[in-house]
Amino acid sequence: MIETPGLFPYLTARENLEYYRIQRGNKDKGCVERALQFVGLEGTGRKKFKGFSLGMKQRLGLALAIMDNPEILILDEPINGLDPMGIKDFRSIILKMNREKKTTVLISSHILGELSQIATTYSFINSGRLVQHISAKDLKEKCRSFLCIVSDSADRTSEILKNNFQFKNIEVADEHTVHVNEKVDDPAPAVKALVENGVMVSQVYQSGINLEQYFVNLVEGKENG
Amino acid sequence: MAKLIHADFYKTFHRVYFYILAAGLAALCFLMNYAMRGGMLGNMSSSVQFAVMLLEYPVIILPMVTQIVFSEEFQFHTLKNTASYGTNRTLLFTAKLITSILLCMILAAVVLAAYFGSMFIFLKHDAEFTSSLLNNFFMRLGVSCAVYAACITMSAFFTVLFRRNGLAIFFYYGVFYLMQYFLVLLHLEKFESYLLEAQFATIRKLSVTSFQKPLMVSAVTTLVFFIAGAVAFRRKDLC
Repeated sequence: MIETPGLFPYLTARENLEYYRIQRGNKDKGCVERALQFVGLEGTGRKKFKGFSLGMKQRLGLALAIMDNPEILILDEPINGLDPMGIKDFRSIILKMNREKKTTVLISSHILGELSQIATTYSFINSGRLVQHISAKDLKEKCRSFLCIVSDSADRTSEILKNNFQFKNIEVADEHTVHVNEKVDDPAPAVKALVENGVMVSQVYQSGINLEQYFVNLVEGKENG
Repeated sequence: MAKLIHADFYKTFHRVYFYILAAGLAALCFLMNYAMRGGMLGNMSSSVQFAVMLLEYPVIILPMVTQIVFSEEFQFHTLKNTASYGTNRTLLFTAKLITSILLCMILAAVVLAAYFGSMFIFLKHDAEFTSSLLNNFFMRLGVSCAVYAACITMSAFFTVLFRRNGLAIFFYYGVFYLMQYFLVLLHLEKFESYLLEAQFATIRKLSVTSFQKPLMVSAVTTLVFFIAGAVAFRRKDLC
């Protein structure tokens, strides 16, 4: 499926799919109805394609792509121009297709934030060259957020946190800064312990990189994670 | 091939445009025979002889059919769905060309039915209206069909070559109607008799045995524009 679907504006959703069913020599007439039901367009009746919203057009394009039950589906920029509800619907259809039909879906997209909600494996391509192939789990690890604590002594901070909370993932960034990779959402007990042990805490904040920043760093040759 | 043609038929028969075109042409046939009634030419034999004079005119409407089959696919970017499925482009071009020719044959059948139907309704049967007159007419029509096929192939080539429909139609009419003047300008008058338009003069005037040249010219023109069209179609950006 290539960006916006190209279909005949004077035909209905059913007629458009029927045209391609005949063209592909698919003898299973029920595949048209099943594809329409799968993408939620079974109730469009006599409405012509030209009267469809962009979201409906994209869903019909997807119905065309899945009509023959492909094992792998390649989608090029499928959510370009869709409104938030359209994106949500499209995402749920893709996930449903993967779970119910066991279809492998390869999505090419520049909307990285959206990909992070559905992808299980990422391939980063820059100027036609594969820069990195990474699983979602590994990427999440590299993009994880951490707690950044700036104090008068990074070593003392590290020691107190290790003793009091049994934190294992603590990195000393410089003589004043430590990065804590645990209990990121609840820094209050750690700060309380540091202050009670005489450490002067000047800053505590959450830090990390998102998928977009990760890609930019990758392209610019900077270190990630 | 058959499924590609079948699909194009499905698409064409699900749009009003084709029916309006057929109805419009049929109405024109009725109108012509209605206008001839009562006068000196108000008999069936005159109507058939008049029909021979009209054999060149379908050339004008042929691009409308290639527009339905080819041009709108470029306009609506629908060919990418077919090409991305792995369909061979030459096969696709051939199928669309055959579809255009078959659709023109259907239109021709409608026109002939309307013309002869209205002729029987409005005009008088006369002694000159014989089976040999009809045979002669249908022989000329058959040869004209070869020229029409060449015209459809030429129209398909220009439709594939140019992104704008207007330009494709302009070149089609230009090559068909103006090429003879172009040849005169280049002092190449001796080639005039090989043009498609010139074949209709032969079809109208000469005897049944002289149809070899129109058939040959049509066949060569069809072949040349088919190859050129298929090459252009293979190279065309369909997205």
